[in-house]
Amino acid sequence: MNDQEVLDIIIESFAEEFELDRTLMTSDAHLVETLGLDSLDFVDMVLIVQNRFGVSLREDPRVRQVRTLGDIHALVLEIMQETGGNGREDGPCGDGSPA
Amino acid sequence: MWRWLSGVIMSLWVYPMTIVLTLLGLAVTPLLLLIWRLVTRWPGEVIAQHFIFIYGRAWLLLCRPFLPFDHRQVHPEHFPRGGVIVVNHCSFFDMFCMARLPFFRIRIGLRNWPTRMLWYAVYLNAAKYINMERLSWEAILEQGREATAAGQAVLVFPEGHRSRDGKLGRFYSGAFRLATELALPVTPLCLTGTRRLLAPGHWRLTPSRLKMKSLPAVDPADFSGPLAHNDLRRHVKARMASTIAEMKAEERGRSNAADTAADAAA
Repeated sequence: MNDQEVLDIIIESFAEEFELDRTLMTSDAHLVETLGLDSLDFVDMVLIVQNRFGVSLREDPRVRQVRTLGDIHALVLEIMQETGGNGREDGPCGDGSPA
Repeated sequence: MWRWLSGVIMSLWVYPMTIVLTLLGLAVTPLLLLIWRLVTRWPGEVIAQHFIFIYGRAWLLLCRPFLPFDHRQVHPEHFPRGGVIVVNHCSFFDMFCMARLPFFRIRIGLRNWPTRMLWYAVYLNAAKYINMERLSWEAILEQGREATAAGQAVLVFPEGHRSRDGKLGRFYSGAFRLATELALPVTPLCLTGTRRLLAPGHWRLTPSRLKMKSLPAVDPADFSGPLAHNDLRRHVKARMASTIAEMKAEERGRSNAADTAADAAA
């Protein structure tokens, strides 16, 4: 999976789960100010990322620095690299597709 | 022209009368509080919820010449005791319309701004309304648990703010997470006509036909998984969207029929 595919999956999943306007979902879109996510959505965001990529952000302190869609994209890529490419440190979870 | 004039007349009646009603309410509250306490023995928050309910009913009565309110499709059996109610949000006056519900033991989930109106804040706080913006999720959950255990409903406007374009906006997940975590049924409540009454950014009121319709409660147990609350949210929103579309279509049909009848009579 290349960087663009990861970003596309993030946009697709967030748009669907949070009813977001796709036209606003650019890399520099601020999760709170531009997309209107609240603190509960951040909890869901962690679950969605875990479901889609098998990447666990729950205990990761870097998640606190996330402000934009680009930040979450970069963090997912970083963790996927650290965990050997597919990011599935806990094994597949959620629906498993298309990661 | 007639619409503009009727709006001016309505504004000249409703705003001053709302002020009079509010001042009168504030003035008689201490005495009524004493009487209610002695007669009903209800807890303080229930008395405050009852006072808010009476205030809302009085306001609707004042507005009745300009605001016919069809609430025949609000069915008490749609509201299990101690459940969550979610309502679409188009106008400041949506809150007042909640007095048309068939019961008053309700805690409304609010954003912070209504509590800045000091003349209302005292009642909102006394009624233990839930500040969804200020409180932590744990505190909201605790208040929701306390309210529903006492048989009170928790009412939330899941859009969080009034719709700017009249369309159903994004639903935030708080109400649905509350329902899922506490295993509470969710009753969708649809309200139309209040946007015409007073849309965001306007001051002049417009006479309008209000309509309220409740839908059967949804059981959160029908949804599973870590994101069950989001599935519940989508399900409830889809039902509300189709019901509101039907209600608006009925209203358009009624208006067209009235116009046709008026043309024929002319």
